[in-house]
Amino acid sequence: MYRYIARRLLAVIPTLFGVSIIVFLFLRLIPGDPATAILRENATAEQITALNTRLGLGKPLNEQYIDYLSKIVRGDLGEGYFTRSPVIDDLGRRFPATVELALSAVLIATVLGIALGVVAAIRRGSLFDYGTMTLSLIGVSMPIFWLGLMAIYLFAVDLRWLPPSTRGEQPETLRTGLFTIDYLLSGDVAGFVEAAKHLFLPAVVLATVPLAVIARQTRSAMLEVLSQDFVRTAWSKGLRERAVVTRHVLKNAMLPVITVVGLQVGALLSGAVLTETVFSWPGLGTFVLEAIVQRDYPVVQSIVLVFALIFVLVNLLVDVSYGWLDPRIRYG
Amino acid sequence: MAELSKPAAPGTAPAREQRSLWRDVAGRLANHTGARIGLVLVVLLLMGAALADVLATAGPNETFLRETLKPPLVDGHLMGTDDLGRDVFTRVLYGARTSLRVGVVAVGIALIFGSIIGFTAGFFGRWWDSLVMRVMDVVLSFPTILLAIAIVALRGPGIFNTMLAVGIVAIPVYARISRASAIALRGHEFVTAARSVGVPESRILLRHIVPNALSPIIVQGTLGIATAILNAAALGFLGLGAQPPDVEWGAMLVDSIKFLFRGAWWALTFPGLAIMITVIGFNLIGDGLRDSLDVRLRS
Repeated sequence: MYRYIARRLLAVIPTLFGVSIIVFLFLRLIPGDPATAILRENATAEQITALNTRLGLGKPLNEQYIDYLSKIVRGDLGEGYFTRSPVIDDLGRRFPATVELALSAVLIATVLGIALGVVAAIRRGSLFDYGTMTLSLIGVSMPIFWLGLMAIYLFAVDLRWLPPSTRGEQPETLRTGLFTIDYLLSGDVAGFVEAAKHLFLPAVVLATVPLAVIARQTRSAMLEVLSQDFVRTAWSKGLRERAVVTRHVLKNAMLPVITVVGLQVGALLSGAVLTETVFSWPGLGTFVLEAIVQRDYPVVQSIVLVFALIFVLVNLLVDVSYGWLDPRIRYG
Repeated sequence: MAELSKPAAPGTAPAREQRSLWRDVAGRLANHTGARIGLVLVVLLLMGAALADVLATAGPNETFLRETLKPPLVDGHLMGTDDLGRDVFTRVLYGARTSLRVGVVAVGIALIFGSIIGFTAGFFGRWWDSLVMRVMDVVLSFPTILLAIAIVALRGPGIFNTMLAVGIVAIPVYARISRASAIALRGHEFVTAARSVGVPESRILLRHIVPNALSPIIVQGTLGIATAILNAAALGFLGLGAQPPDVEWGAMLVDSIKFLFRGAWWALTFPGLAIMITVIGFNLIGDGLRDSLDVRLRS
């Protein structure tokens, strides 16, 4: 088991290496250089060349890449061309915002998705089942930026129940960087409510697609297990419905559901870019979009690496959880 | 050779057997409630796109500055007008052309390149397999939207580059499916039989493996049109998709934000609904095909 994890962690390295090369080359292939983006139109050609040289962009590509690589293996992500601060500091500020948003979305999607899927499967063919499956079809078919805009229009512009954008006021002391948690830790209930109000719409919007996918997958996995012999045995030995469903069926139906949750993480990161844009959420998604426009190479490179790292680690976690959910699974 | 390679159902002529498979599928599809609804939605959409010139009251980019921000059903504007007085219904119809084109072409790109990669990797294996699948894994670990944005940033915004970007990001999906099918099929007896009578490898792949592996690819392709339309709309929303004078639903949505706070909900609502209905349509047909062809996709 531990050897398996270690081997998988080692396999992460070539993937990240590949990602770093692709991002590096891609950025430099995109027309437009950072110096022009920083100095705008009125700069002379000499000024632009001088700045590009100072940023280390005058060297041949392979030298630039080796410079970059030797820095990141030492944990140095470089300095943003535009932000003019170490990228690691900006990530420290922006990353918790995305984590808060994404974790809330995963929480909403998993809890609600599994609950809806379980009930739909047990009451197969009922109105509830059809309703859930219809809503889930609509959920996966909706452009989430549109859902976000509609939600802003309805709840922020029309009804004025919730704020339309941003994370709201920053807590005085930042411990985790997650505003809701930090307010709670400092015992500021009013602050927590305010932060939660800001979080609510973006989190629900981001949760929509994974919620729909998880509900569907849970339902079909439940149906498959429900028809098996050991479930009939569980019923016939007189177990109550709750025991049959939670201890026998749900636990065995969890495997494909966990797989889907893992696969949704990639989609969730894409969704976060769009959701953050719609709600002006100051996370990694809005940061990376700005950085692409500004040709801020160090920022884009770092954020894409963070995204790729999250993706591979979550998928490793999913694979490891198989063995925990089903002890018959062995890792070779 | 072809006869020899089909030992699956002895006693049936292969040609007839194959035709009846597709007739079977068509029959099951016609009885599939979801697929029927999906088919109706997509046909309606196709009709809207085809008849846009007839149904429209004006050109999609014609502005009427005296008729700005009219609510729906006022003065003959079924879905109202935007801040330049352009008829939203007209623009939704023309937008259908863009979205359908983008969806179909993007899936075409992804399907052709993805299955060439996947089939050759799965069938020939060895270093080629490890190389391309490692590359596919790297591509998959990028968030789709960032990769698409990068491709558009590289080549400039516009419909064609949108198709290209949305198509490229989907290649790994088809590569994985066709590779899995090729691996599953290459050990079958009919492949060994073909090989033993001297059929060249390339012909085994093209005539025996590929036709038997089409079902999951067809299903994924249909569902992929839905995904492609959503991704294209997202690019349009970020200002990187189709540019004027091309009409695109995602771009219409972002245009509508600036007057949303003046209460003009219709210019936001209808293009979004159009995207949703289109995507639902293709998803329903894809699900129906999956049930009728009885394939299981690795989600």
